[in-house]
Amino acid sequence: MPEPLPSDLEQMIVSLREPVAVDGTVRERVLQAARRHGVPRPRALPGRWLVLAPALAALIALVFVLPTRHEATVPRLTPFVLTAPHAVRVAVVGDFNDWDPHATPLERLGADAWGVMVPLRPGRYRYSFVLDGSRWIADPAAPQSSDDDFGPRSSVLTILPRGT
Amino acid sequence: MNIVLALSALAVLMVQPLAAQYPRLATRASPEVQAAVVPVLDSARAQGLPVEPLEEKVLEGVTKSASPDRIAAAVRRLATDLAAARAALGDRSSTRELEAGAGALRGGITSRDLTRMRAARKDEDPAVALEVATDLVSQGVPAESAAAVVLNVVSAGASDGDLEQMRAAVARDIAGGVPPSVAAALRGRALSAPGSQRDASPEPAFSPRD
Repeated sequence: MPEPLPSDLEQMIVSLREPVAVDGTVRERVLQAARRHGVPRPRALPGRWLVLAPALAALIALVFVLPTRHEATVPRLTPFVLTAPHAVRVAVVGDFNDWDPHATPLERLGADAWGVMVPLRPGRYRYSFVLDGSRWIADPAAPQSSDDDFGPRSSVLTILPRGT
Repeated sequence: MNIVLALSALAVLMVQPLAAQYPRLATRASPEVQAAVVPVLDSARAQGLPVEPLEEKVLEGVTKSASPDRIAAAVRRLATDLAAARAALGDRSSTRELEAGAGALRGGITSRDLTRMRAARKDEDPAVALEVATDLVSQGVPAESAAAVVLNVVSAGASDGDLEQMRAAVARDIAGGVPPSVAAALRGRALSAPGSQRDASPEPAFSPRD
């Protein structure tokens, strides 16, 4: 059995065990004082990098990788021009428009020339001009295709990706 | 007579579900054309050949008002050429490579040259090289010479852009009066000389007026 403490010592212990009344703003004041004295804030950088790293990788892909792929598939405006002073209607048909004579009519450009701009992805296309719905003419400014399965030969056009 | 009509109607009805596999044809090709070409397309598909070039051939024939038999014959011939091109270029060839190979074979380039072209291109796509060789043939260059010229420049490291420039230059030379085989040989020699790529001679190699 321990020996009882002196009564004045007992009172001192009781008073120390009582909760200390503190100002409600003490936490904020302590933090402000800490910041003034240069106490470092908890580091949030690793967490930020978890978000930033994938974003940075995506940015690099966007700048360096995707344009190359994009160039390989981006359509290029390609002119089709024909001199046909006596034609009433001219259209271009080919692999790029399912050989549909109504899909891509040419516009008259002055007295003799007809033309149209068609967006084409890089690739190789066979095509022909159709005059007045019935006359087939290969493009005199392009190489001719190696087949003539259906009579008049077609022309061929190669679109390379930009920067090739 | 009634039996004939009934059988024709039945044939058309049997073809329609098949044509649904080829929606590009369903709206443009007549039932007779579909009946003639769908078996060829199905056979090509079963062999793992690309059907897009065959569909385009059908549509070309339809637009040019060719008969169903003629369209089917053209599609069958193209399918045969695509299969031969695949045998020469390899099973992993892309649709464009096979189309280029088929065109080259049709132009008279041999399957052996196709294989050599593929080997010379290493891991790169040989389609443009094959297409340029085919274009040279269509411009009057003998097939053997066209294949040799293109093989030389490809082996020297010419890019697709270089090959296209060469093709255009040969066309200009021929239009200017240079014999096709001479134009191809000169342009090819200029391009296959060491360090000559990118300077692929935008001006004619020589003029017959010189």
